[in-house]
Amino acid sequence: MRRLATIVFALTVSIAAFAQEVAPANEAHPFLRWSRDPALSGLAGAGMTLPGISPAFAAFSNPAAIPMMEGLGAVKASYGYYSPSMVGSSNIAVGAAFKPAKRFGLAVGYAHQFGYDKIDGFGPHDFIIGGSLAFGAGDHFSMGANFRYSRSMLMKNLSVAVFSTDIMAQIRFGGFTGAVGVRSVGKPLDKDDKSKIPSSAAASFSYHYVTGIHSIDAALDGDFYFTKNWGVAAGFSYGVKDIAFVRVGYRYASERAAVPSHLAVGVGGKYKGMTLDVSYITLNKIIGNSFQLAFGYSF
Amino acid sequence: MKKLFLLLPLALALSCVKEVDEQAPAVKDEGDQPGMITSAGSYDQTLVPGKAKILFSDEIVAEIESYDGEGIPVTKSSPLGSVLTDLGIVSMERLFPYAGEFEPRTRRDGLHKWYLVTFDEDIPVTKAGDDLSSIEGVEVFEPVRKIVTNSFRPNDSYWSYMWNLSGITSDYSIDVVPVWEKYTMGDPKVIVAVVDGGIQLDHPDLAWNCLSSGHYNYVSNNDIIEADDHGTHVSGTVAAVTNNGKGIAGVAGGNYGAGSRGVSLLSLQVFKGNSQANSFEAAIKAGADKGAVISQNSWGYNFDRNGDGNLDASELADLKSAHNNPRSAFTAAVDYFIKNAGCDNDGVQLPNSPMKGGVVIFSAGNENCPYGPPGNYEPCISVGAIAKDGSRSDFSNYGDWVDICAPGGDDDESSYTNWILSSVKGGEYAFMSGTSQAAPHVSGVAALLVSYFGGPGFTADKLKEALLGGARQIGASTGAKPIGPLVDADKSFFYLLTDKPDPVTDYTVTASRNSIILKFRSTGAFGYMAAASSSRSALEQMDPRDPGSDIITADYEIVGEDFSEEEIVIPLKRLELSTEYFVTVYSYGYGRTFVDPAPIKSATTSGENKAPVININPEIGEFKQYMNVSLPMEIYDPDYDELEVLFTSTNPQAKLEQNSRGEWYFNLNCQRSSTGSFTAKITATDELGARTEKEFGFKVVKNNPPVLDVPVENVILASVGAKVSINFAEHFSDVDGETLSFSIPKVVDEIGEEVLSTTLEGSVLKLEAKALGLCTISVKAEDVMKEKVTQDFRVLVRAESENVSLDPGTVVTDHLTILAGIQEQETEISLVSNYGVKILNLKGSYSAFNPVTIDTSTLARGIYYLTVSFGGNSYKYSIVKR
Repeated sequence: MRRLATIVFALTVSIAAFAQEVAPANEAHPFLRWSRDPALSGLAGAGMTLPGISPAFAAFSNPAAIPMMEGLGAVKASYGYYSPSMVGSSNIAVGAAFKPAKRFGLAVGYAHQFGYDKIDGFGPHDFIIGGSLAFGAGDHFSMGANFRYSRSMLMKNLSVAVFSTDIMAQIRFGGFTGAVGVRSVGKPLDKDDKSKIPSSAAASFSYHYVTGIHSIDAALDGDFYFTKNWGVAAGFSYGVKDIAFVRVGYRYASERAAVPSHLAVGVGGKYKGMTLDVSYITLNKIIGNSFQLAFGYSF
Repeated sequence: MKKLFLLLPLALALSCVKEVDEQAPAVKDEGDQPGMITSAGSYDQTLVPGKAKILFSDEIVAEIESYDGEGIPVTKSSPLGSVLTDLGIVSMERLFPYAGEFEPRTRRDGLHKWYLVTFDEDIPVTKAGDDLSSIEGVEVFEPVRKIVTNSFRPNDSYWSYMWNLSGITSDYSIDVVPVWEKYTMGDPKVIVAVVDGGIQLDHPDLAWNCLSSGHYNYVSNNDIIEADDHGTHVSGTVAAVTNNGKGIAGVAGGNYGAGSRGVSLLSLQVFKGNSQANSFEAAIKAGADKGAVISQNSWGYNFDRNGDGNLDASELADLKSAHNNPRSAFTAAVDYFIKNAGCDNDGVQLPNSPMKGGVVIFSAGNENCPYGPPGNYEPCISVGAIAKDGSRSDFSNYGDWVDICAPGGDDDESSYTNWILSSVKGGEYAFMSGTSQAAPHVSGVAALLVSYFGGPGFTADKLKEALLGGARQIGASTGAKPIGPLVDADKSFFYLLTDKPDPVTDYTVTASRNSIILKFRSTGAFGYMAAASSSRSALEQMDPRDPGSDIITADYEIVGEDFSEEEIVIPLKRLELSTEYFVTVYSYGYGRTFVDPAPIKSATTSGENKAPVININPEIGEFKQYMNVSLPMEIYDPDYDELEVLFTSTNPQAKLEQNSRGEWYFNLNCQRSSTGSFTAKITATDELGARTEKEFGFKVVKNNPPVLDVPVENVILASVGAKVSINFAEHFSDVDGETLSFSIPKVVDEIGEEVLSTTLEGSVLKLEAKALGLCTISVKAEDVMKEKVTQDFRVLVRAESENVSLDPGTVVTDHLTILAGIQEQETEISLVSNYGVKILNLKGSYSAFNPVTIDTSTLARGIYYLTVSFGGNSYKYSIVKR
C-alpha cells in the first residue's frame, strides 16, 4: 500500500535555524597537475628532471627537459584508474616530444578524464590539449614553455575552460639536475568565473648515480601554490642494467593542495627504446588504490 | 349574526320577468349600460337595479325571524307572500346585521326591522316600490341609490399612459389602485436597494423618496451617484412620487397630496454607460448592510460576444452553462441578503426593521430563451415580462424557473406608448420595454406589502408567499413558454389579510389574586388574544376586532423565530378580586384575521396577596474571566402584579436585566470585570408593597492562557499531492474551558517554493503538498481573552524513496542544504572534488528537520562528491557547482 504521509515524532518542539557551514575556496582544474606518466607518479610526482624518464609527457610537466633528452624523440601513452573508492574515473593520455635540432625541442600532449558518475544523464569529462617549445643553451642549460587549453564538461550546457602555461628553466651538471619555474599559470576563460587554478612556483632537483649494473635516482620536487597551498614530493628509483626499475615516492601536501599527500610505488622496464611503467598510489583515503600504466618508445 | 334568506327558485323568478315585460314594455338598448326603468318608461341610471331597502312592521319581522331554516319564510297565504312571488324576490337580509352585545339597543331603535331585498333586475324599481308599498306591514320602501365612487385617481400628468398601474386601457395592470385606496401607498421605513445604474437622486419625481445618504457608486468606488437612464427608469416604477401633479406614479411612491412619503430608494450603482463595477455581488450584499429588505435587480450577464444582438449556438451554450451553474460569489451574496436583511449580526430582526430577511428580485432577461442567469438562481424572485395585451413579451426569457411576470411592454417601436413609462435622467420621462421594466413592478408591490404588513415577526418568506400566492394566472403563465402568474397587488394583500391560523383548542387556566393566566401550545399563529369577562354571554357574543369595554383582553404576538412548539402564557391582569371570570383565547393571522375562539372556561380570582418570588439561578457561583454570563433568574409575582425590582452588586459589571418577553437575566461581562469575590442583592416589590429580598455571591477567577499539551509533530509528506490533516484541538487546550481559536500567522518556505497549500477549518489544518521542499508553519492558539501560545513545526515534502533530500538538488550555486534522515542522529557529511581534493568534512547531529546548509559560493566550478553517512548507511551524490 502506498504510504502518502508519515507523521514523525519530534524530539523537540523548538525549530532551530539551519546549521551553517562554509565550504572553503578551492582550485579549479587540479587535474592540470596530475602526472600522466607512471614513471613520475611512481615517485609521487617527483623527478620531472630525472634524465632517465622520457619527456614524452613534457607538455604536462617540464618542457625544459626536452632539449636535454637522449635521442631525437619519444612517445608515450598511458591509462589510469583514479580514486576507485571515491571518484572512480579513468584517464588516458598520449604525448610526444621531438627534438628536430640539438638545441630546440617540441612536444604535444592530450589527456582525457572520464567515467565520473552521470549527472542528469550526462557523463562529465575533462580534457587537456597542450604543446611545448624548448630551447637549449649549451649542454648544461635549457628552458621551455607549455601552453595548454583544458576544459571540464560538467553538464550538458555547462563547462569550464582554462588556458594555462608553464615556464621552466633547467640546468644539469653531471648527475645533478635542477629546474625552477612556474607551472599552470592562467585562469578560467569565462570572465564571470572567479575561480583560481593551481598555479605555483615550482622547483625540482634530482640526482642520478650509476655504478655497475645498478642505478639510483633520487628526486625532490616542491610546489608553492599561489593559493598558499603547497606540496613537496621525494622519490627514489633503483634500476638494474637500465632495464628494470622499482620506484617509491611520498608526497606531503597541504590539505587542499591540487595533489594531496600520498605514498606511491612503481615499477618500470626498458628495452631497446621501449618502456613499460606502472604505478600505484596508497596511504590516501580518497585517491588511494589509484594506478597508472604506460607504454613508451624513444628513438 | 348574519342571516341570508334565499327565497324563490330561479325558475319562478324567470317567469316573473316575463310577466313584467308583458305588463310594462321597456325600451332597452342592448348597447346601453344597464339601468332602472323609471315610471315614465325609461331607466333611472341613478338607482341600483333589483335592490331595495324595506322597513317592515313588527309583525312581519316576527314572522321572518321565526323562520329558522332556509327557503321561504312566508307563503302565498301571507300578506307579503304573493307580492314577493310576483317580484321574483331572490334574497332578503337585515340591513343592519346582528350587533352582538349591542343588539339590544339596535332593536330598541328599530334598526332590526330594515331589510335589504334583492329582486329581479328587470323589474322596474318604481313598480316594485308601488307593489310593496301597498302591502300591509311594509312601512317604508326605499330604492338603493347609486353611490358616486371616489375612486383614487392620482393627478400625475402622465397617469393616462400608465396602463401598467391604472388598468385604464389594459386588463393586465398590476391592480395596485385598490391597494392605494384601501391600505397603503408606501412607507419610508421600507428601503428598496436598486442595484442598477445610478438613480437621478434629484429627479423631481424621485427626490422625495430617495434616501438622503447611504448610496454608493461601485463603478467609481465612491459615494457619488452618477445618474443613469436605466437605473432612474426602474426606480421610477418602484417609487416615483405619486399624486404630485407631475410626471408619473410609482407603485409604492407615497401620496404627495396627502403628505405621506413612499418607500425609500437606495441607489447602489453598478454600471455607468459601458463601465461596470467589478463586484455586483458586493452591491447586493451591501443592500442588506444598509438596511434594505428588497433588492431590485434589472440586469443579467452578457453572452453576446460579437455584439450582433443575437445569440449564436456557442453564445447560447455559454448562457445555458451559466444558467445551470450559478457563480458561487453571486449565490453567496444573494443568500446573504435573503438571510441577513433587516437583522442584526445574530440573525435577530432589528427593532426598527419592517421585515426579517430580504427578497432579491431579478429580471428574467431579454434573450427570448429558456435561460436567465443570474436571476434564475432559485432563491431569487425571477420576473418575466408581458405586453399590454397580456401576452408574453416576445423578448422575455421563459421557463418554469420564472416565478412571476409583470408589465414590460413589447418590441414594437411603432406603438411605444404600449411600453412602460417612467423617469429617466435629466428630470425627463421615457418609454422603455424589457424584463428590466417588469421586475420593478414586483419590487414595488413587495414594498407595498412590507409597508402595510411589516413589523416584528413579518418574514421575507411570508412576503414571497404573498407575492406568488396572490399573483393571478393569465395566458402567458402557462404553455410552452411559461413566465409565471401576473403580479397582483390587490390579491396579494387579500392573500395576507385572509391568512387564518389554526384555533387554540386546549388550554389551562389558573387564577391568582387579581389575575388569570392562560397557558397553551402555540398553533403557529401570528398572535393570540386572551379575553375574560364576568359575563359568559358577553364573552360569547364578543367581536374580537372590537371586544367592547366589558371584555378584558391581552395580546401576545409572536416575534422573531418559529414558536410553533412554544408554550404561550398570557396573563389577564387587574381583574376584580374574588370574582368568577369566563375566559377564552383567539388566534389570529396577519392583519388580525381571527379564527374561532377556544372553548370558554372559568376561573375565580382570590383576594389574597402573595409576595414576589425570587429564585436565584443555581449556576451562579464561580465564573471564568472569559465568560459573558447571562443566566435566567426566576422573578415573578404569583398574582401577576407589576413588580419593582432593584438590583445592587459589589461588581459594577453585574446587571439584572429584563428582555422583551419580560424574563429576567443576571448578566455579567467577566471580560470587563476585575477578578475576585462579589455579592449581589435583588429586591422585588409588588403593587401592594409585598417585598422579597435575595442576596447571593459569585466569583470571577483569573484567566489562564492556553497551553500546548502535546507538541505538534514535524510531518513528512511522502509525495507531491499527499495530504494530511492536523487537529490542533488535540494539541492545545485551555484549563478554563474556553473555546480556542486557531490561526496560522505564517507559513515559511525554508526550502522550495509554494511547498504547501494550507486550509484551516476551525481547529483542523489541512495540508497538501504542492512541491518538494521544507516549510515551517507557525500555529497560534488564542483564547477568548486573547491570551495565546504559539508553536512552530516543520513539514517536509520529499519523494517516498528518499532518505536524504538536497536543496537545491544536485546542481548548486551558492548553497547546498542537506536534509538527512528523519530523526536527529550523528551524521557525517563529506564533500570532495572529483579530483580527490577534500573540501569539507562535518560531523554533527542532523536530521531532515534540523538540516545543515553549506555555503558553496566560494567553491570552484566543478564536480564534487557528497557522502552523507548516518545510521550505518552512506548515501553518495554527485554535485555540480555551477
